[in-house]
Amino acid sequence: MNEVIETEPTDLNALMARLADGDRTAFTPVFRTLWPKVYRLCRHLLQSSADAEDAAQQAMEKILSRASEYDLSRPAQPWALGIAGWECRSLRKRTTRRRELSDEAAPDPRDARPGADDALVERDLVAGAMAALGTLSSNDQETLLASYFDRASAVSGATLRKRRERALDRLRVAFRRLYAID
Amino acid sequence: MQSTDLDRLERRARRGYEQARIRRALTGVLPVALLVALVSCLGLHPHPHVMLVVGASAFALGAALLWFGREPARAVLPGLLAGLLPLWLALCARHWGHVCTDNDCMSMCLPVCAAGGVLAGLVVSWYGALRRRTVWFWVSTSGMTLLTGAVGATCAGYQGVLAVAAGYGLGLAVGFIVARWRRSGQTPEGPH
Repeated sequence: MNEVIETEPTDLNALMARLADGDRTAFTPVFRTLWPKVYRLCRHLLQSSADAEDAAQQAMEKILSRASEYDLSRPAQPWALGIAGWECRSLRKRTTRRRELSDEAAPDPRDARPGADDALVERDLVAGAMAALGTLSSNDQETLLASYFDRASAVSGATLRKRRERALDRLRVAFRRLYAID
Repeated sequence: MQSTDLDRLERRARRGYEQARIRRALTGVLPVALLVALVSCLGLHPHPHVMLVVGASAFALGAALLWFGREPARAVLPGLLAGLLPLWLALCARHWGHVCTDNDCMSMCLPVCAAGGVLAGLVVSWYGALRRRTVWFWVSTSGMTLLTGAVGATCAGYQGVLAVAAGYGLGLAVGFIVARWRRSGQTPEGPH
């Protein structure tokens, strides 16, 4: 199995910029840097290893096939995770549709668990939030993702709190605009 | 526990990346195909078959450079725009470019092709000097300019293409000398 690389987002931005420019030597580092992040996000959104692997694989193929379209002025990580979030949402929709078609009457044993509905709702909300995140500015995306992944930010204390609050407000507005719900 | 074969996934992703780059390159170089189609449809060129072959070469070169990326890809647009100068000048010269005296009527095709080449060379050298490009840029942009220019210049036969190439070389050399001269003039003098 390949080793994965943990890098700072600025390194990823530089690598992604090189790849977008056609520098093939940046391909493997980008792939190995992104894979754990994408997999972790898919795992969190889908709550299932098998589904997460499918979604993460499809997301990686999409991210890298769209690498040439990457906008250098935007941070690479939110851009890539936005695609992964969207892929998770699509996969879950496909799975739900397939389940509805093939086994409409049979109850899902997982649904019998207490709180299963809540978990599904939560997953939908997280996927929706990821899609809404993609519509925000790069600064807002960075702030929210830094908070999400518990990553150290360039600013701290009150500035970070205010920035996070403002970014969250804008995320809520974007979410309402996209889904017309609070 | 992850069971994904990352090597296989990476190979698949790389294939997708290259395919996307090819699609993007073909889309990016579409103006060349449209240009050749326009010249062909309007019947501006006396040898459409030759023009189509040269146009296809320009298309292929542009697509290859865009697919490759980096400096060669950045050479495509300036090369194409600079190449339009000799192309249109040559086509215009074929239709209107005659200097007629009482005794003689001289075609202006070759001088105009050469003049178009000089202009293209000056434009490319000015742009390249402005952006401080590498040797790959110069090679790629020259190829693109000459092939685009040759689409029009072939109306004057191979001599037209040679005239564009000679003019381009001259324009490039003059542009280089001027850029070098200006740069040396801007260099601050060191302590005596």
